[in-house]
Amino acid sequence: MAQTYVKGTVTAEDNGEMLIGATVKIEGENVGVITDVNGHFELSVPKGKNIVVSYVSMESQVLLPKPLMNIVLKSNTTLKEVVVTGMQQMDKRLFTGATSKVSGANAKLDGVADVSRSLEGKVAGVSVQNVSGTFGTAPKIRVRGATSIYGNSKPLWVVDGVIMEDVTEVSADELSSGDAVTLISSAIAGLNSDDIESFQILKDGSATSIYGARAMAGVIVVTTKKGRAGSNKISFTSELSLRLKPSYDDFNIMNSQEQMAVYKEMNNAGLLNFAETYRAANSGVYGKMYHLLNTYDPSTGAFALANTQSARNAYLREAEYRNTDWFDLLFSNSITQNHSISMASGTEKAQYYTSFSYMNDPGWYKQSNVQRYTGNVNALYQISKKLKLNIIGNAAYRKQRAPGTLGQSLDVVSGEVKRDFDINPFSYALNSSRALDPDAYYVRNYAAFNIFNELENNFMNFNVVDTKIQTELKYKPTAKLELSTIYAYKFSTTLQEHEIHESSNQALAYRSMDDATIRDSNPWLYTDPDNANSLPVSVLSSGGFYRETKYRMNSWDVRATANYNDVFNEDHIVNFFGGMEVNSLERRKTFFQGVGMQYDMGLLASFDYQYFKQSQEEGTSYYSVVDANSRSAAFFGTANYSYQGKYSINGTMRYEGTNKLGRSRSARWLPTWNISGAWNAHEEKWFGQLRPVMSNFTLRASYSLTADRGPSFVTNSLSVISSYNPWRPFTSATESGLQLEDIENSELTYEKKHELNIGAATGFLNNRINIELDWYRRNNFDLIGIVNTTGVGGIISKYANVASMRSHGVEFSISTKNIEAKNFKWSTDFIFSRTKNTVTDFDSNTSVIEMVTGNGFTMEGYPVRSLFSFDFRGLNEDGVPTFVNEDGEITTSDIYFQEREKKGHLVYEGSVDPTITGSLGNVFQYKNFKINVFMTYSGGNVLRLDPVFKGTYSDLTAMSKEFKNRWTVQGDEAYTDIPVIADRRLHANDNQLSYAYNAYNYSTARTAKGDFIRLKEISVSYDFPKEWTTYLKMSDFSVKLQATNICLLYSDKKLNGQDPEFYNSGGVASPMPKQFTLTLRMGL
Amino acid sequence: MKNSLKYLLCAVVLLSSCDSFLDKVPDSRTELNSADKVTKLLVSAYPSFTSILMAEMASDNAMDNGSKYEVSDKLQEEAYLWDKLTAQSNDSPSNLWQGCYASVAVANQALQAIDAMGNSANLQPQRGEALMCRAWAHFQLALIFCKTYNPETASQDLGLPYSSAPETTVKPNYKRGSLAQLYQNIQKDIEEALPLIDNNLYSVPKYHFNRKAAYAFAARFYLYTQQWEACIEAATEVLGSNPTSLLRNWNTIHNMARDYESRCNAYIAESSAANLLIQTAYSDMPFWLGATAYGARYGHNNVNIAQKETYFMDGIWGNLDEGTGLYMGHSTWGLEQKVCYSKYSMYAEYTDKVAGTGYRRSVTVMLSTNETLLCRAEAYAHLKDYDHSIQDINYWIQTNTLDGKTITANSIDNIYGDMKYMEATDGTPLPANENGTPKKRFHPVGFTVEDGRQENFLQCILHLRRCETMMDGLRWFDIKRFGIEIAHNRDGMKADILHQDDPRRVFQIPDDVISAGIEPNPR
Repeated sequence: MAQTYVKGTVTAEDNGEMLIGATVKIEGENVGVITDVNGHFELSVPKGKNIVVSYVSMESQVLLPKPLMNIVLKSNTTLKEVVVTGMQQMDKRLFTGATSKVSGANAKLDGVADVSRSLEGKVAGVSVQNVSGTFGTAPKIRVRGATSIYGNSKPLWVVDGVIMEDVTEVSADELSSGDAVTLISSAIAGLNSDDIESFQILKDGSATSIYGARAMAGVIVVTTKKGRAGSNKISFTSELSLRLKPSYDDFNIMNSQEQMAVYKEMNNAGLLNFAETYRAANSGVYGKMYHLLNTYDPSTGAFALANTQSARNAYLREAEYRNTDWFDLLFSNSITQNHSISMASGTEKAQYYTSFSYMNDPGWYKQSNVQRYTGNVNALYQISKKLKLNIIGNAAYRKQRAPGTLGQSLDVVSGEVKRDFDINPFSYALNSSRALDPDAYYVRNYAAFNIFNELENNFMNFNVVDTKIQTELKYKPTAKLELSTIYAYKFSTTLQEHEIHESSNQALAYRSMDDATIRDSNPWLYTDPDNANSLPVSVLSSGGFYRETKYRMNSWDVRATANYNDVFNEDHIVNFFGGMEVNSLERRKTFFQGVGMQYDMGLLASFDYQYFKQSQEEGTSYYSVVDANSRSAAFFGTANYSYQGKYSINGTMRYEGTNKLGRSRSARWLPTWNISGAWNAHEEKWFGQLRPVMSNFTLRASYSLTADRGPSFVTNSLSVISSYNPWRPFTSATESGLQLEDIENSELTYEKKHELNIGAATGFLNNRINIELDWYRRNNFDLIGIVNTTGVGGIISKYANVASMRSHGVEFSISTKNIEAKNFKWSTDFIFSRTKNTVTDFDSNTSVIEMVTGNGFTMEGYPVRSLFSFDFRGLNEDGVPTFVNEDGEITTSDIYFQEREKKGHLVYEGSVDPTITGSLGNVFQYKNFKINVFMTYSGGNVLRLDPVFKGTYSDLTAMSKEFKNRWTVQGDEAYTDIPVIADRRLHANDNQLSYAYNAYNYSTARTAKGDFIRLKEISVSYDFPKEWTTYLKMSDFSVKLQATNICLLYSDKKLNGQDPEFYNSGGVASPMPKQFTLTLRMGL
Repeated sequence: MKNSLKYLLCAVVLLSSCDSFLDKVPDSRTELNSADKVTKLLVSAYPSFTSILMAEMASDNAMDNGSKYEVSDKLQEEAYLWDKLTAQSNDSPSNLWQGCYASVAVANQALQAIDAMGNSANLQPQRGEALMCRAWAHFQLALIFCKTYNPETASQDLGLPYSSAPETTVKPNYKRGSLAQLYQNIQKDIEEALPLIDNNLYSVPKYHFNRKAAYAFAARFYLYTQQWEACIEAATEVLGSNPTSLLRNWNTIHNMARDYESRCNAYIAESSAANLLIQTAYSDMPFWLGATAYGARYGHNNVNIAQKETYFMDGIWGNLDEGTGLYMGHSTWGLEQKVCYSKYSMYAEYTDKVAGTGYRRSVTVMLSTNETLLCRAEAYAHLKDYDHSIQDINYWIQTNTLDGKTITANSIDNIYGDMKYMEATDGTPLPANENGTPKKRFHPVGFTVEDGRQENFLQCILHLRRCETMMDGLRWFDIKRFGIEIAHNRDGMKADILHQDDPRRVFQIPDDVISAGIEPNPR
């Protein structure tokens, strides 16, 4: 019988996109094919037969076969996307899970180089909290809220089918710590946003179950751009962003006059007297004055400041008028540039996409510059009719500067969160008195300190390299079966160098011993225990420190899959997909501390042996190497069946094993599964009567088990034995040994989650209005929690799979095309999601201090990150704050911060994680102009206000204007809640007075609501008309002006300028700036 | 169909090969597969926590100095008041419990590995050390959380779970068993271990159960269980017939520069022949009890305790003011409210020196020849072998006093026989207790003491032990053994008396442990 061999492509009419998974069948027969990733199909058609081309939500066409066909389908609904799970691309008719897709172009936030931030407010059920705006820091992303108590609930990132891993594990709580490691916490900081084709967020168990044992917290699938057959294009994008300096107008910090008035009062109360302030560890205006009074210049025969009342007054008056604008001095309006160029081209045989991008951020504040280069190659070759090869290579290099910082620590006894030697410019500006002279040197850690000198001499360099190469081979022996293998190799390395130069305050503190008092109190000096009666000496007599931390990660992934599609009797569509994957990940972290580095002497090391002697005596190692290996293997399969595209059912199974739980062969394997179904009502014949009022309706339901490996520190399916150097008082007694780090838990298993999801999608009025609604209920069980045991095995409180929590939520999104005229279009998108979780089974032994600071913690019956407060009961007759303590008594400082049992006195404030998130976007289009107004909102959570109250203040401290209303005389306690500046008498009466102030910082008086509405983006863009661009030999040209993070339309008044998303933890943390971006796009 | 069978077969093969692929350890952990690794593991078989602070505070070595002194440490106060210890600190009962059982877990892990390697001859020294550590940790717990050993009631008294194999499940059940069973197990481990101990195993022998340390532990164990002959025999293994050269060389310390920390460093040095077993611990004890300005509310008060009952008093050793008396009395520091001699100072272990983060550390001498000597002297006194007893007392006196005097049985009879008993009265006032003496009435538990010479000797030996073991916490166990009734004054309240049958002589086991199903001590 004569046949016509048909080759062709199927594209969508409205956007020209290739349609993947379109069915091309011979009319009246059961033979057909499905178009591939590029919309291609090939089919032999008997003479006289027509072909039927159909696709979900498209109008089917019956056509005469020709050897070469380019078929264009018209849409009948707007639901035209395929679902990309990262492993598979599926016909929407067959897909039964809850998922959202955002195109790269829609998600892109111009001027924000980190793509993960751009998802804020774009997808229902996904919350993105910019806990720090510094480049490289990952935002806190949660898909449908938290899924674990100790685990990090971070979604899995899959880029072009390959799981992306962080170079080092940073937990969700650590993201807000401001520690240096947060700068490398984003696995995808090396992705250029212009290279992204789309994001697909997989939310429920049905969507994520193919990743089963890793997907408990959701999956974000990123697809990068590819070349297309028959198109040749060079695109160029250039972004220039200007950031506004923060302003004191936004914060309620005292000006220098107000501040000096407070200091004067403190001085009158004897708090800034000569003897103590002169030798204090930290001192400012007054300390400087005392030093000047004591500085004699033999050449002039005078003191730097005459010790007369008038000279002193003149000095203080000068400070009073100074009004230093630290924000202005430490920040700059410098312009960030981001340029990218890409080439896409292709023929039937081969397609490629290459890109290069360069980002240069000269730094919003001092020592914060970033340069990033990315390169990307994606090449696809059709080797034969049946064989296809795809090679993708990405490389990114980042060079970044950050102010020098050490880790943050919490003093559990006094309840103070501290960071030694902190020079973060944002927190410096907020916390440093405006009466200080920016050019003068004051005293910090007993040594001279000037913020500009310090930033110049104490900083960190980051060098980050991320590379990935992957190759995918696809073999299609028959039209129905496709076999594919993918191999990916990733390598990333980060070098973090903390340079502490010899003239920095941090180095000088090691040799500050101006007089005997300072020598005896300076904690950085060393007294030799082997040398009786010796005086403290410096172990850093010259030079500074060179602290180097290196992170290295090598990983590879191999996956083999088979995909089988078939259609029986036109009505029965089946799809089987199965495969296996194996991955291996090796991480190494090394730390080295070079001591006595003389930066000014050509980087010459000059160390003192006593430094090492001291290190050994104090049990500090000067270098360390930490290895981590992660391996996993998984087998998975999924089966779909659809009847006429009306009814679909899906079942997925994955069987995964990992080495993470230790060498026990029983604990490591876990099966996960999903069962789900969908009903596409619009495919029913009767649905025709409802059109055009109702254009489509889909109902979905799924029930699944997914899992995660639990927090990284629980790996004891067998006992964990590691090497260590036991601390010994003398170098003569040192030896190395092995320790039992963790005892065996043969019952250890994965953290698991059952999820029921019911969703509906519907369109009205020819899809002018589209609504999507999802409801879910999750039951998280076998979570790692704490269990109290008898301790006879060596540990009383064990981490084991004993905790559980429940959560539920709704997600709602509506998009409307309000006006669709020829020249004017207006569309609106509204997204709302709400999630609530409750820990149902949890034995907490967390201390009070951990419940009230930072991200808070949880107890049974409360959300997974709950903030608690001390119950503030007003000021007492001395102006000192009072609280209810663990024994139910009202007290000032008799609070036991380490209490673990009695926690009834704490007041529950609310969840730290937002329970409501969403956005409202409006796009207006008039001719070639497009205006986008995008607002995000978030709420239902509580925040801790900055801890600004202290038992003692120095003359460096900046105070907030709240201090004006502070308690000053007896009787004030009736009118104010702002505690007194404690004088000597109060401290003499109670030498734990600082506890009362720390408790006040963490009391009911110091919380605010986290609710906010943010005007995230306003932009105007203009596409130059075709006539102009043709004249310029361009295919397109557009200009866009965008303002980002413009303002908060609503937030709690108590915040007084504090950003509700941002955790001001010092270190390397900084808020998201207000910025203006100019973007030029050209296509050639 | 054929194909799918093939794939299935492939999958099965892959699955089994996957298991070996997944056997790669997730971090730098190691496995116990050589004798050397077992040796290294035993470095961590010594408890990192001590009972010193609570025992010292519960004993008569402390008093309430009054509410004008600040309570810096909640645990210190709770222990002094014989309250339930709820404070979370390095020195809390739950840390002691966990720390000791963690040592047991290490020992059990080592023993398991030794058995897995065939328990061969070259592993016997390790076996000895492991058994010794297991016995030692259980003994430390028994002293605090159980009644003192009384052979008549031990089979009814509550013991503690004796852990003899690594724990592998999340929440296994344990029963406390009787005190008799617990002590039998400890004794069995000690006696099995003693012949196996080999000093050649250790690179830093003073931080391990070297041979002398092992016998010193045995001597103390036998003393506390009234096995006098065995105690003497074990102590003699440590001391030989003339131990003078092995005792603490106080004269050298006395001649050192007058610097607290240097002298403390000399006290805990491995080079000192007197030190048999040195232990490092996470502890704030030296901070509260040592020469610091903190923790003055409860302490070893100069006027009321040191001058009346301990090393500042005129005693059998002479008179401090006349330039004789105890060396330790001439090497003292601290506040009036908490005087101490140069024994233990505070150390710091820094995890990051530049960031200033780390732990407080104590270094304590857990077993010393001086203390073993007094164990032997006491055992002789129980056996009424006063000649040997006085000989041992003299060894101690001669190395501990400036003039190195010799005392006689008669002088003991004279001094301790004539001394008034210090009665525990609830009227104990603040400030000075006029009637303070070191002589307190005995209500011995499980043995008897004759009036006259035997009691005089034991009063004397206990007095020497009290000075010797200051800041070691051992006084508390002597109070328990001899049923001594003591009173603790309390500012603003009547003094509290610890009667001979007071249940508070046994510290309550940690709450978490009780809630996990371990029977609490009766209250």
